[in-house]
Amino acid sequence: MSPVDITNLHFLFFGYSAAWIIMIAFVFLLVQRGRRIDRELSRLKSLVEDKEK
Amino acid sequence: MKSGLRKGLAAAFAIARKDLRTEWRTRESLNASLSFAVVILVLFSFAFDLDREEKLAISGGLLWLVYAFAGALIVNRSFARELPNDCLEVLIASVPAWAIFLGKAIACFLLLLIVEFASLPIFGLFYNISWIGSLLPLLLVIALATWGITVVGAALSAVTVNVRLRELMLPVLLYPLMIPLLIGAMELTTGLLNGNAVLSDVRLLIVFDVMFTSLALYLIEFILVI
Amino acid sequence: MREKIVYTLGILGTILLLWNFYNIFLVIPIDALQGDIFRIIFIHVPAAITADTFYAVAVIASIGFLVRKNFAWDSLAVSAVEVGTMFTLVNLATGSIWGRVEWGIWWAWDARMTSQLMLFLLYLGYLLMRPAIAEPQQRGTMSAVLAIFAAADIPIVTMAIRLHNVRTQHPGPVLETGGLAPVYWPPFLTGIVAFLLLGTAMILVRLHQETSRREIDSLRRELHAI
Repeated sequence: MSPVDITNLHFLFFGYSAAWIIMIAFVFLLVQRGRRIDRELSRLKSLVEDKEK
Repeated sequence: MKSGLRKGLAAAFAIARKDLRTEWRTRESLNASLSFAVVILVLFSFAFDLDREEKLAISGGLLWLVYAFAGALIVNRSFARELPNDCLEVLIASVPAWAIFLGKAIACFLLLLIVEFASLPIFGLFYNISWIGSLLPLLLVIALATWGITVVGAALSAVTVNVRLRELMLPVLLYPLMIPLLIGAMELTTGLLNGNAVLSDVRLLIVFDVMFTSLALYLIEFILVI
Repeated sequence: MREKIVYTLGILGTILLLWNFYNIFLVIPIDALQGDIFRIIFIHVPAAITADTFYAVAVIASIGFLVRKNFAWDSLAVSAVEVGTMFTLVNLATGSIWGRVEWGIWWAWDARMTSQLMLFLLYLGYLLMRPAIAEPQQRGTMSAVLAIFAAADIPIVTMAIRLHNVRTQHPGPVLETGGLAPVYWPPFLTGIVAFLLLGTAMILVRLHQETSRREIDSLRRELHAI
């Protein structure tokens, strides 16, 4: 393969990696936020139950 | 229906007069805006070392950058000045939303025009650019583009009036929306100052103005009356 | 039930994407002129199409919220904007890398990339403004107005960029996708479908989070009331 082709492949790899990283990072953020919200929700639910007793 | 329109317009002009009069008393906004414009003009002349041709090439771009920054300062105050003493709520209760918006937009428009006309000679002075030759078409471009800036700016001023960090949020939201308008104004102005303008480009300004004026007038009801 | 849907969509989308990559890398013959970097088109353009679709959904949802005042519309709008913005980022990143290989520069201000950048900036402002408004009804209304303004701006942006490129005599390199050879269509379409599936899954997850948030708000109010 010519050097141009090799550079081409390098950039192709970067391109696909960039796309994957962005998508995975987003999913990760989504999941993290989801966990935080669920934790807060269950905390508040138990607080309300306690107060009602 | 017609009397509603007439009453609304009367209210709009009353609000415009009120805003202009209040502003003229202290001239806070005008002074700040004008000083800001001059400072930027000076800064840019230090920032770049340009010969005559290059200056002419960036003339339109520079001028409208300055005007855009000045405009953001002016529209920021527009709805914000109604916050103390619940003035905004009183207005909303007594005047149709579109009339409030129209009045404030007109006031901002005139105030911005004042700043623009005041900084134009300074611009000509610092950059050695003569704008007198193409004055009339230049005035048309300035009028159309300034209306675009104030209409979008006033609408966003209403949107962000109760938002945290309003002074920061308003420019962040305003500039991207204005970019197409500014591109048109910049191209036209550079063309006019260089003597090779394509006047049919005002089409872009007109489309922007019509689109956003109608959108703003329609949506202001939702923005102000919650 | 909802979780099952999310997982199904997510897994389906991922499998489709991976199968597509197999096709892209090992099966499809590649353009002799452009070389292997051309394969990036199978992510670059589907990402843009997916992003634009989700932005359209967001605008419709925004209008829905203004008309119906039901918070489900607002949740859909913000979820669609978030996921759309993410896909726009993918589009911008891959476009930049493609441009670096094709023209040697990381950013060329060509028409398509610039309008995607504008979309990104406009809806980034939307995402920045939302946390600054505490009251949910206001937040929904202002966001909806902003989304509509942004959508209305886009056709004008396209006009402006075209104008700018013509006036400044940059014929503007365009990442050529017009006239895609038939052999490239299957992975291209599969890519679009895969992204749409994945994106929908993400939107559903985000939707559920918005619902939970509202539940949290009402629980907090209940707690204060007790």
